[in-house]
Amino acid sequence: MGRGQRFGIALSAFVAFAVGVTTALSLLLGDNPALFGNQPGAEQLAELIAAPADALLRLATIVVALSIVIGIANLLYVHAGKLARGKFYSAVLLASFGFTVFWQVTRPGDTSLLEAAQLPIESALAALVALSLLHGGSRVLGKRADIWGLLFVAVVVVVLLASAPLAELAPLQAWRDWLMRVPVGAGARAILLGVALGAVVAGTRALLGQDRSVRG
Amino acid sequence: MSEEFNWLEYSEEMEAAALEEEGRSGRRGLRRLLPRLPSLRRPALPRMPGIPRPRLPKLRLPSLRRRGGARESHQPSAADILGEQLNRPLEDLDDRLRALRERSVEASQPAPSHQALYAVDDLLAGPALQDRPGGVISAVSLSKAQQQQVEMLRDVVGGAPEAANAGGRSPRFFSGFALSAAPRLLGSAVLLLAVSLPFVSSDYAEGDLPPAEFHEDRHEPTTFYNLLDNLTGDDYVLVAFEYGPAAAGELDILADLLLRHILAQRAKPIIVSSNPIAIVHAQNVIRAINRSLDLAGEQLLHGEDYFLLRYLPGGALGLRELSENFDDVARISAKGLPTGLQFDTLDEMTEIVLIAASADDIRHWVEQVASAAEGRRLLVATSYAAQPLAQAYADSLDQVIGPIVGIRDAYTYGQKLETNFGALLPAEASPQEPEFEQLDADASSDSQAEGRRGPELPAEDAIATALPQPTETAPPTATYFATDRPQPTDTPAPRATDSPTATATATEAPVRVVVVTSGQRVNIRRGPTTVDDILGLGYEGDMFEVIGANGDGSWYEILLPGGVEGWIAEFLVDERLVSAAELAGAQASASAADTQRGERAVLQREYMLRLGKPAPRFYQAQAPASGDRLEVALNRDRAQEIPRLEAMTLGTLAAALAIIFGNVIYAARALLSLRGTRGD
Amino acid sequence: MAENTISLVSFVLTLMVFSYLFGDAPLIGGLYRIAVYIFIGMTAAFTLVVSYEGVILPYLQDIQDQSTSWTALGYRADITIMFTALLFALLLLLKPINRLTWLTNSVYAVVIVVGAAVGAVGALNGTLFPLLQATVALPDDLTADFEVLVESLLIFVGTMTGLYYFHYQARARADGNEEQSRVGRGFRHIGKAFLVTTLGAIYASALLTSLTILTERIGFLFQFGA
Repeated sequence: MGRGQRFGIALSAFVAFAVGVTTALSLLLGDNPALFGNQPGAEQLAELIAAPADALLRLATIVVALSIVIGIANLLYVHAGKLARGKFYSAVLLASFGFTVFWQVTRPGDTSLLEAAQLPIESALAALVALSLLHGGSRVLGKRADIWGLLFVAVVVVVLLASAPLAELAPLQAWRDWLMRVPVGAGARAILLGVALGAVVAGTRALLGQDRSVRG
Repeated sequence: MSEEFNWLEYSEEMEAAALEEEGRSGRRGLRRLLPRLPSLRRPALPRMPGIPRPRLPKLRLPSLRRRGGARESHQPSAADILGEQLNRPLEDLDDRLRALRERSVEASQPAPSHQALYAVDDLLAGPALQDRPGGVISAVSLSKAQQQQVEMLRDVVGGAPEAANAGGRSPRFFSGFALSAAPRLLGSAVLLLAVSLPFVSSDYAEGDLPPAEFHEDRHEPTTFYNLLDNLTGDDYVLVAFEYGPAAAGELDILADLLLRHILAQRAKPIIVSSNPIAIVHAQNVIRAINRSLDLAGEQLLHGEDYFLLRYLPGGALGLRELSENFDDVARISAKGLPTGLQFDTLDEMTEIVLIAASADDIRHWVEQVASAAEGRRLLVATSYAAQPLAQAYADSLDQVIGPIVGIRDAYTYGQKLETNFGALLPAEASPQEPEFEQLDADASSDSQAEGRRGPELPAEDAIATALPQPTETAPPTATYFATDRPQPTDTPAPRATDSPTATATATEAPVRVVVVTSGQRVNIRRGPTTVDDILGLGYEGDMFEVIGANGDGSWYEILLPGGVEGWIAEFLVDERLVSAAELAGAQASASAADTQRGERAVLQREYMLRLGKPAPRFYQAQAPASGDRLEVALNRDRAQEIPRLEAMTLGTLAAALAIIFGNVIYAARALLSLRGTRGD
Repeated sequence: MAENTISLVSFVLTLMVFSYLFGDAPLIGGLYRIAVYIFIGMTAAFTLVVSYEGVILPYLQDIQDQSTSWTALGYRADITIMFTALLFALLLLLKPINRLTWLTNSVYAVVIVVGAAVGAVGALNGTLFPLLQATVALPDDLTADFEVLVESLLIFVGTMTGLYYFHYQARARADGNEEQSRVGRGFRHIGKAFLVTTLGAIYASALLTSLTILTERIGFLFQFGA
């Protein structure tokens, strides 16, 4: 690694740190005149503090949008290469891409292509999941025959059966309601809190340059 | 934001995945201690021999490890809480790459459709298929958060989902008709059969239809409905359309209903999404509504009746931009043209409605939009899969209303909508509008099947039969009737044209009244908030006796002519002192005007609450204000609704039985083998 | 497209995807894959058009309009932002050149830290504080039902032990040590029980979602057949 490159990496880490801290502070403190005691001029100050976040958000979203375009170009490039090697499916992909772009550009607002092709394919794929979930669910105890497996299966069965609107299953519905309200409510909160804590910690780490991505 | 980014990774990651796969011999570090993760190795997928690993000769991955690490940071997870875990990035990388390979390299297959493991993580993260482009196409593997869920699930149930594939050695999913595939085939066949029967013949109908009202224990869906019912022509509603075609089978019906409800009241939905395909799909949903209006005339126009804003790239980033710079986002339509909308902040939206397929989308909206627009409620409609996590938000945050979930809630919502608007059709229902008649017929045949709905009566007839029913019958007893005025349940209903005898305070002394000054129809509510149920309607010039006010004087408590007490917002009225005679005269003429208008029908339902106390609840039957579009609310295509509900019932039963059956067999086998080992 | 054509194409494509059920037989397996590739091509196309029409093009036009500004920093800032974004995109294109990787990664780094900051601030304000508050808060009326009190307590215990389980899982994976303390183990098991229950409920809910979608597709096939 050359000296110039190392310098570049250090620089980019610094820039990332500065950008991150600016964004976070700007988001936390901006647009909130109350922080400045609602003095005259507080509003302008609050707006000014919010401006860096606005600018960086705008920058990031434009970069993301541009990167989507680059990424799609890349996808086409890969498949064009494969097509050159005679891959039939790449031809299908490129043809459907080309046709869709042509359709969208020449018939703005006409969504019948989406309805005729995209929707049935995606829906049918999603429908197939039911079968694999069913299969997975029916083999839980095959993989792990212990109390946790049993609990898992019991909950799955109770929730499923309780969702069938049959009078015979009415007692299960009370169980299900309780399950959903209390243990599932608690577990769901734990999951959400865990994910949120993770976001905060990871964010902080990224800002402090502890994350590898930021180190270049 | 990772999803979009991964467009870029397409080729490189793929190649990396291939290299990684080839180069991997044995597992490193602590991973050796972990159970193998067979399902990540696509055991169950049909092999696609024709598709070799893609190679991208020119592009080379600069630093595989580093890139793996880079991904890690923007999809943080709970694991990150715990700081450094040296073995994790590597582990994640492997999994991610493997997932990557499975997801898009080979046949660009959406892995979730074949792998229970993914399905499990996806149910946390979204619909079965990632309907973002990144999800399926661009080689996105699991996001970090999703992975966390998967790993947790794996730890918790020892690979419950993997069991689906029973290890890498299991037979491939339906590859040929190998003997060992038989149970799987059988299960699938039973499920498909169960789901198909109701479409073949109504003899296979099983189970009750969903009720015509949300269960009284679930207050929030009713609040959801009421909030949308309060909209008027001046309101703008931000509608977040966060699902693509993959979830259309479940959420289209809800999206259609909610849009119709908003549009029928001439409020203007502003549709927005952080999913590009969802934007096109939203256009398609509107197009379907317009198609249903073909006979009735008036089409919905973009830029007038509804707005479709530009795509918000970058997931959470895009949503934050929406909440921070709403003025700017609202300027541009999905087609890149000016919308003519001028807003400063999201606070100018009357409500924010979120229709989302995945819990992650709900989380992003709560975190990036709702938390930044604190004054706005977030009304959530979602899929079953996202319900548990959505419910946790709704239970914890006052700002989040709902959720309305899946097709059963959609049915109930639709019934409410139809009752509300259908009851207001002119009695000599329109020979030019045959669809209405048919819908009514449908509705009443439904109701008879259900045995819970009263007959559809035009308002005039209803008055004659407007005696409240005893509430001791099975709850929820829904006897409803339309009167010109809401009535308390415990008094016989006086004719609407009766003089206001209930205003017993009428004396010679001046009476404190309020006079409606708003040009719009105003709502009179059960309590001093806009969330409370509506008791009745007021029109400009209507006069009501004041009996109190709330703490800050923003609401007046008033006496309605039927003796019912209600609340009206202060800014809609002027306070005055008038003589009793003047008040009586004004109310008599208002009531005459009502009769003439045929409006102000109010539905009343009686419930047995859980505690055993009968408590009346009132729902407004929205009177057709001069511009309300009944046809939008009523012209729905409901042909498939009931068979689908029945198919769901049978399918659910079949699935539950298959799961019980399969697990009993496995448990028995485990017990036997346990005994066998002990015997040895 | 006429309605009939739409239905016909949908019908055929649905069957093509469902042909997956018949495995990888020579002819049939290909049908499934064709459908999937069509789907990928279309998704890419829709995404491209939506991103270009809705985001890139308007921004490029917007930048020429001096009367509006994206931020409080004025019109000049807009030009700077746009210019930087285009520069970044250019740098992304340089990725294949090995020596300039650090440049490309710097672009990523900037976008990632902005994303991380947004995610962290959102998580803090949107999830962490309100959820913790709601979990810790006692019911409004302490004299309320005994049942209600117990439920609130259970939710509190479940949330906390569930979080503890998360914590433990990750740490155990990091250092490979089993938890020794008995109390810790007890907590962990309680947390695990709550999480297993939740995941079970989520699994069942996902099955319900996919069943719903399945009924829609099957219904469509029958409708078309009729």
